[in-house]
Amino acid sequence: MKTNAYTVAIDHIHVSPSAIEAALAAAKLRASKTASSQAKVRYAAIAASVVLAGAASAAYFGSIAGFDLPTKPSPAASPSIGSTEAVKETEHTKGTESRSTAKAETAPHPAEPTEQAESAAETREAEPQSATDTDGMGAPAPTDSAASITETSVPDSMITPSEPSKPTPTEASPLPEVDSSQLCADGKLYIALAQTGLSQIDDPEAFSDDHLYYIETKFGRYYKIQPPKLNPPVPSWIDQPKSDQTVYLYNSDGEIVGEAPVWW
Amino acid sequence: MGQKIGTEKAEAVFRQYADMIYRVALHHLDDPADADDILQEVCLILLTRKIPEEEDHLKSWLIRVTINKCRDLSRSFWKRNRRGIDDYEHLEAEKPPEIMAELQSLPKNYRSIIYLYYYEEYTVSEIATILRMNVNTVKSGLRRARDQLKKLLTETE
Repeated sequence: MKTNAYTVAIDHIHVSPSAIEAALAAAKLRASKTASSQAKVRYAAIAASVVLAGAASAAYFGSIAGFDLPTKPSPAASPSIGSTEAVKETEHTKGTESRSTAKAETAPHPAEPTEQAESAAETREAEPQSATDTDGMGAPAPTDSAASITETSVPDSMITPSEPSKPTPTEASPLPEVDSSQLCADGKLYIALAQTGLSQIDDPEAFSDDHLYYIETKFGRYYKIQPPKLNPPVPSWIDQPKSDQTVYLYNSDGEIVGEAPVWW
Repeated sequence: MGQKIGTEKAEAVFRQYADMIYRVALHHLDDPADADDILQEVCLILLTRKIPEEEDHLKSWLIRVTINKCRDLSRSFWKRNRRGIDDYEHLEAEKPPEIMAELQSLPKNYRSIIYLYYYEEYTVSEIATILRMNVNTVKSGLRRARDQLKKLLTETE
């Protein structure tokens, strides 16, 4: 090869090993997901609990970031993050009855991505059943993780709103107790619901720099999130409102570490 | 067409060509984050589709797939309507080498042609096949890209 300034510059462009591993892990996961309905059930089981965790983190996020939480067209009430009723209300306001989050308490099957939020609501009330089902599908580890998430606690500062504008837990959906260290295998991941209602990651300092994290929408697109890009709190990939989305958060090992319904 | 390969083989192929895929994507998209996404998309295709058996064919096929994926991404509603996080002024992105910065100011097709010609050392006719362009189009593109690049580099000196 002839050497010139161009080829020298190109020679310096490399994919980091972690990016390769992350791409491989995510691609494998996507490849396997299309073939395995069991996986969907497992994902739902994990996501069910993580949704609750995300809700709690949202309060925390809101309190430290100082911005408003999701707003709705209707000024009648501001939704409580993590509240099934709040989600319902938002969906109804938008006139989209088919949205998954609005059916959280009645739908029985968690297999479809759009219904994973349902699983969240069910898990809130019936964690043991969810665990049993998941075991039946041959995936005990995620279920254990899911159960532990809802059973552990979080420091008060994480979940207690301290300003009047923040959402307060309702009697129907109290903020769950969450140990955010359970959200990720390495205990370094936090999830929050941002101003627009999309789950996102907060606390960049908690990330390990050599890992990449991915978001998946129900449409199958994965968005990479790099720790340095998590600040400011509203990143680029949330500026196109898409209701009826559920996002899943993956760590670099391809494990789902978070999920949250999106409402705009 | 070739055959669907096993996961291990696909992984090996992916690791072998990851840099090339990334570079092609980076030339086309001018966004490291998008290039990473393309990396994943191409990896998925390696895992799920039949791929060419011959090494040379495999390489050009991967370039072709990568460019197609880049085009898909460029055309997507998402890409056309989003605002990149790097647009935030206070987020300093890593600055590319000067020549790369100048290269990125060329049209996408020119960038790909330049890369394939100068770095991957494909011939004009091979590039035409990979990019599904007329040979003369590649030639003129190469010439224009050179001229433009020369002009840009002269202006910056």
